[in-house]
Amino acid sequence: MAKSFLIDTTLCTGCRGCQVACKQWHNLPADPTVNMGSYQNPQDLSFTTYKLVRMQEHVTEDGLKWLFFPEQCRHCIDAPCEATAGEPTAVFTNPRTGAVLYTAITKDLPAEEIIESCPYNIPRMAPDGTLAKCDMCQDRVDNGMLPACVKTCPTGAMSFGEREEIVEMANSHLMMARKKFKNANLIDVDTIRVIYLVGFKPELYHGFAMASNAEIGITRHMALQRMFRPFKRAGAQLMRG
Amino acid sequence: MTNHWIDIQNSDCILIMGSNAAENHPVSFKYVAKAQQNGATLISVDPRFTRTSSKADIYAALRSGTDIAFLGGMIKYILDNNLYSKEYVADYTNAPFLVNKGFKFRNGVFSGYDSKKRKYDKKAWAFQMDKNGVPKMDRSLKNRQTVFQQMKKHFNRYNTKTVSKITGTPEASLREIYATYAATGKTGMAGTIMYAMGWTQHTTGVQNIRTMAMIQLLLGNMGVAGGGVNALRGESNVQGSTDHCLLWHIWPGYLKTPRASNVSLAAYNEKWTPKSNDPQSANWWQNYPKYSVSMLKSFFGDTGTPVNDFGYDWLPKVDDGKAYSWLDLFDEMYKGTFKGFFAWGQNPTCSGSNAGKVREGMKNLDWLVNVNLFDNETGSFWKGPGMSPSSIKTEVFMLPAAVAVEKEGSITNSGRWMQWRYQGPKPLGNSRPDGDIIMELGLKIKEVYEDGGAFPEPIRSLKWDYLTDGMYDPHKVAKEINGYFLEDVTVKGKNFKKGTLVPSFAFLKDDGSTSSGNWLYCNSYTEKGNMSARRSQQDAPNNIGLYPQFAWCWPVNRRIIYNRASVDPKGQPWDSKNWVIRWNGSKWEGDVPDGGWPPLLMADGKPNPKSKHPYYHAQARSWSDFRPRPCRRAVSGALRAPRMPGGKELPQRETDQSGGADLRY
Repeated sequence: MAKSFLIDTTLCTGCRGCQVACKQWHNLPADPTVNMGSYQNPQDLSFTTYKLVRMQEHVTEDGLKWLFFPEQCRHCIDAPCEATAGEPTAVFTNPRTGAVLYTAITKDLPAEEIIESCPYNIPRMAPDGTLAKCDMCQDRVDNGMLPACVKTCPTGAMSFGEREEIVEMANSHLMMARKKFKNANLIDVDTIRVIYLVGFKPELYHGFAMASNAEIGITRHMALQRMFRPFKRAGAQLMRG
Repeated sequence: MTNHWIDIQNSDCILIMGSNAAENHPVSFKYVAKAQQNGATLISVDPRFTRTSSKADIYAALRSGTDIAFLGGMIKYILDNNLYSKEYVADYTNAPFLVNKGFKFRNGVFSGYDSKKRKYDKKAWAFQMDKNGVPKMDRSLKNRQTVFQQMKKHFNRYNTKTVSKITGTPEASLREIYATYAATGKTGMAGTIMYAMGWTQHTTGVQNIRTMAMIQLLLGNMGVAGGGVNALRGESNVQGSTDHCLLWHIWPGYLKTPRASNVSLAAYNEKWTPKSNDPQSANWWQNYPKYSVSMLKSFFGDTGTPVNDFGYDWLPKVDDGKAYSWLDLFDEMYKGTFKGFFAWGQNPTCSGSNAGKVREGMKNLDWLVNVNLFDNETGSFWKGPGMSPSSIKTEVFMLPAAVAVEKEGSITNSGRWMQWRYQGPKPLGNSRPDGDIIMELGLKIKEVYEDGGAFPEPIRSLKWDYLTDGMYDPHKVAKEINGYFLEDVTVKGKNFKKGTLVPSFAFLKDDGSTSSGNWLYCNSYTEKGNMSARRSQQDAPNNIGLYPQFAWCWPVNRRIIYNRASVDPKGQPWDSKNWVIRWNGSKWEGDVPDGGWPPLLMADGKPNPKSKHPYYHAQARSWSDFRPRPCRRAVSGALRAPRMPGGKELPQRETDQSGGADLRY
């Protein structure tokens, strides 16, 4: 069943400890930023930013709401990016953890198509065409440690573990959250490994918080990719010979 | 904090005002979130809607600086609606005390005001005393002269309409917050306040916090789990540096800095030791001379004797009525009054108000030593905007300091926990720990004064023996802070050997037979070992998150101060679930009781003459962060060419010369 995350946004204070921990563990440089009138910083994910706390302000009947959404790759159980890439040396799923991983070989693939295929708009491209995103801290997880972001979260908003335990935890957090947030819900819980608990409608947090219906179904392009996948794999193996 | 971080989880209502805890104290929200999951209400009052506000169940804005009006309205609400904790207020506070009839309040001014001197003569404000010199009381709180009735009268003006006009907060919001918070006045309920520099840094900082303290007393929230008045300190060791007298007006352990009018040790002790004629008053500060003499013994060792007042005359005195705080110091620097300045772990050219004046002041110095991790605006002030380096005579020295993880020692967190830290990586390059720098600086100054100089006695007499194998030893300093028996003595029926560590401040003496660098920390490093290095994760029997064997907490490992007020007069907890201490018929269980004497009433309801009142006024002191402080970093640095007093070179501490390439995790 591999691993999963629970990100309970009702407990997130937007401290961005996860964002910093991610940068530190992956030894990634800071992205130059400018003040855009929001605490969200930087403005978007990038080739060197895998984790970003998105912040949205909404005036509701119940007053001002400031919503935090610590975004990262969802590690889809059946990842469209992997299907689109169709190249297991570039994009593959680690069977032990369920992590969807990108390698340097992504440079040789059509990056735009892969990015397009992601229902959550996650992968980002380097100038040379290489793709990068959250890797579930594979090196840490393989050594029995928590992902850096989860380890650093001070409020208990982030959890990580065996999928069945996390799904169970998500349901119990949801019961708790519904006492205060009547619209609380889990996002795409059956199809992804990073389960978000939101107190309000997902679209209030971020345009790509939830996969849209159009995107969640398999597109014709992806279906074709899937059909050809075994051949491409065989071809790649032959090439490596 | 009167309580501590974990204890926030025990609260039923958390008021965060004058603080943006979610952003500035992220870990506190672990416990705030737990409390909320257990049904607690979180209230955020702030001029700005912050990340703290985003998590709050109730948010209200107020005009900056109107906190006293806001809280005054709450006092009126509590009193008008009889929401105060009656038994608690009558038995455990000075509400029943009778105030002299001369005390008046008219047109915004109290009686005894001298408009020419702009000062109050407070004589008329005193309590009425009986023939034995004990304050007169009316525990029914009905007498018009009681503190309670006077308070009622005083706060009568604070109706929600007036408060709303001053604060800008809508009346409905005021009423909602007052009702929600005042509900914690019910027996068994607890409300807590988390505040920080949003309160302390106002000119009315002290009054903000005192007003809240009154609310906490009225609601019976002091001493209980999930209650208290909790100052969130801005850096991991601000509490420690305050305890050890970072501020000019105190000596270690909140003893007073002597005034010029305190002409001898006897006069000093007489002036600052409070007296009580009430046989049931704890009056803990009656022990003041034991703490002051033990501190002097710690400073001057064998050279401090009863004949020379243990070296009292060697210590600087401040002029009566004169302040020596941050702004005053830079004022004097600006005027050119002094010539040298150690900027230690601070950056005043950025963090001081009127930075331009600070920089101008630094031009008047002969020398400036900047002890810091990095070069900064202070060390490089001479090349700052508008400066002409060729015309500035100030010689600047940079001493690179080791960061916190590169050195061994203790820090004390907001919850008063002294926690020992071990050295991780070695200091980079030629940077060195603070302790090394201060130790060596002291030795060098002593060496210079061997040949004379102005007023050399204090320097020559200073006990400065914290080296082990020629290196600064933080354990020796920690032991000195705890204190030693300096002779074989018998205290309270127990025999102690010369040279052993004092087990707690109850055993300190005022005759020079004990030392203690800071009486509040006596009990932190004993013959049983370094208490602050303990790491047991076992909770106390009351299971409220005290973890008494994890680190060490002042005073005497008491995790919740004033906890004697968490029980009724028979010693049974107001809150039977989240109890802090309880009397089992022969002794106290749970936390270390704030005063070990038996409960006020015996099981049959008769007064116990052996008991003492758990009054606050008897020992109220600045436990919490009542004053603004200029700087709160405590870091370290290095000097070159260390030498022993005889001119011998000190061995160099081993450092990491790799350039710190691999310091991650």
